[in-house]
Amino acid sequence: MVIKTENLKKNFGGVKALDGLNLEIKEGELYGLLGPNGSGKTTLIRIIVGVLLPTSGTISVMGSANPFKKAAQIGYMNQSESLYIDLTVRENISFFGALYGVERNALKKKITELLDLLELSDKADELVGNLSGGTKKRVSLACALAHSPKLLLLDEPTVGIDPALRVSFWDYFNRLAKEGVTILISSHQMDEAEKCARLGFLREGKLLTEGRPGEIRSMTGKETLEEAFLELIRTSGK
Amino acid sequence: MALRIIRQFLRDKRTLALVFIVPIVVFTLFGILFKTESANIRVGVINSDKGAERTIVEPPRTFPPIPVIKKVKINVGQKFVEGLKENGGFDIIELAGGDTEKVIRENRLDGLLLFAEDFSGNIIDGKGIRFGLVIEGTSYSKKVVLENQFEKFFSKTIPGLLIQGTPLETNLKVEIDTRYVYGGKKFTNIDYFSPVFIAFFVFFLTFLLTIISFLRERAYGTMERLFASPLTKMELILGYSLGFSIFALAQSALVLFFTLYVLKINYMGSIYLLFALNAIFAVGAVNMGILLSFFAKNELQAVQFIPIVIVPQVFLSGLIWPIRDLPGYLKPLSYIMPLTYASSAIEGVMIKGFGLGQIGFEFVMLILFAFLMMLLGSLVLKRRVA
Ligand SMILES: Nc1ncnc2c1ncn2[C@@H]1O[C@H](COP(=O)(O)OP(=O)(O)OP(=O)(O)O)[C@@H](O)[C@H]1O
Ligand SMILES: [Mg+2]
Repeated sequence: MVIKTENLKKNFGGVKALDGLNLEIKEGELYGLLGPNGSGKTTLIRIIVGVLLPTSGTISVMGSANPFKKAAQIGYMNQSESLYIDLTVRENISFFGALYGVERNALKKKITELLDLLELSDKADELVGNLSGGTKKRVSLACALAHSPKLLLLDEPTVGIDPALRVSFWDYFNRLAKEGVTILISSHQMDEAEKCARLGFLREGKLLTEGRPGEIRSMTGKETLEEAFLELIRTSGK
Repeated sequence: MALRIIRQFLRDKRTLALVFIVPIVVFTLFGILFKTESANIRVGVINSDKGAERTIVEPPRTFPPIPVIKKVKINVGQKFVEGLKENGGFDIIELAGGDTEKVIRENRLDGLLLFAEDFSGNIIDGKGIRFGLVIEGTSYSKKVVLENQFEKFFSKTIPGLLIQGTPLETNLKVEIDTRYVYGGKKFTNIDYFSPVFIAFFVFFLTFLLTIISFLRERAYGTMERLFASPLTKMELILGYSLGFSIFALAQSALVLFFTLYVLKINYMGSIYLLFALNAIFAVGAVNMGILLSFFAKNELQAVQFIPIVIVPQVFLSGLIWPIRDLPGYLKPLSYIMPLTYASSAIEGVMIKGFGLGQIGFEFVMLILFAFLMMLLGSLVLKRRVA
């Protein structure tokens, strides 16, 4: 298991952001984390990345209880575009790449590749502060990919990105997963969820349902994932 | 609009406290400091005057009218000392003699008057009022007072001061042989203020830049990204220290260049030492910025650290008022302020021409300050927050 959590709990004051979460993600799995606002998606990802300590419960990331030990192999994209607005696109990617110890020439090649993939080539030398929201999001993703991580933790990476580009994102994620990269993506977008190998539906800090998209649909007897989740929320509300 | 602003202020308790408490503190300090400003100038006197004999012709009081010719021994030096004590406006300390610099240091004098053996003799022979004045020269205002006050005092005092009925020539020249322990006659206001201001700018700007950029790292989420990377806490702190120290050095190089070559200020010591001091001080300021950024939620609160961190240092570090003249209960505060040591060291180098040996204590204190801030900074900096 690349990620394993047991009875993970996180309280913020009185708020139970995570309430006894058990999660297992295998190597090379593309796992989609779904759930309404405030259900604990970001909290879970931050604990896995190692910037947040759980209140109780255990986690193991690539076999280590302290994710920081594996930091070099983890790529993290937080929900807000976390970039240096007074640096250019290229400088941002190159900074984060260098932070993870990517060798200079390899980094140069990787940056060109990423700029191509994310259709950023013509913006490479623009200041990030001048970019549109969706473009920043793409730069932020590029920064998470610069060191070719073995585990990718992406918090709503496709919000604000136009549909055509989103399709190519998912193709890329799938390709990475085939190469053995483990990916955890949080999302609200149900059409995207179809593309995940496995889905977890989070609600009030608990994992409501888990399974392949097809399984979830047939379990609830609904045509689409969207309907399936609405049904799940309705039945769990009782 | 106004309502929104008031509402926001009321929500931010810290800002509110600051808006009302800080002015009170600052003005209390102001009050204290302006009252103590009149601290007296300490002048030592080494009076070696042997006195001289003067022939006095008294008008005849008897009959037959024969003028009385008397020989009186007078010591003008002694008279001057007494006169100075009464109304010279200085604290006069009579001293036995010895090596002048040592005497000044040991008695914490601002100036030292030297009356030579023939002081009275010169006056009686009409050669002039000749004496020596050694100025300590660390404080510009005191230096100026000492430079100007004595000439006036001596030429004015002569008629009244001397023995009654023995009119001396009143238009005697006053010749003062002025020497300086530190600095010199040509050192003007700017020479005195620039060293401390260099220190002040290094501190102020580095501190402010660090606290703001650290806050921005947190606000933009890049801090979280840094913490998710393999970068260690120490690497982060050292990276910041290095980056901003280089920046601070470039800044002080510019300031130094400007002051030395454009304003042509006078200085004595080594420029390299000056750079080293600035670099260490900048590292301290960077880490203080890192530390304090954790106690500010946003830029507004960071700016509030200016009155708390900067203003007291300006008042109490000897930048404006010499520490020596501060009231006793404020002195301990002065000695915990890093700017005190920085400006004392930089002043030592620039005005007194001190080497590393003579500013060793300040140097060590600045290094300690940098280390302490680094330590505290690394303690509050948490990779994994609870
Ligand atoms: N730093 C924090 N301090 C206090 N409460 C927090 C903090 N972070 C999250 N919470 C609370 O924890 C709960 C879960 O938040 P979280 O950000 O994990 O939700 P999310 O699923 O990512 O939501 P969204 O879809 O809006 O991103 C929320 O109720 C939120 O208010
Ligand atoms: Mg979230």
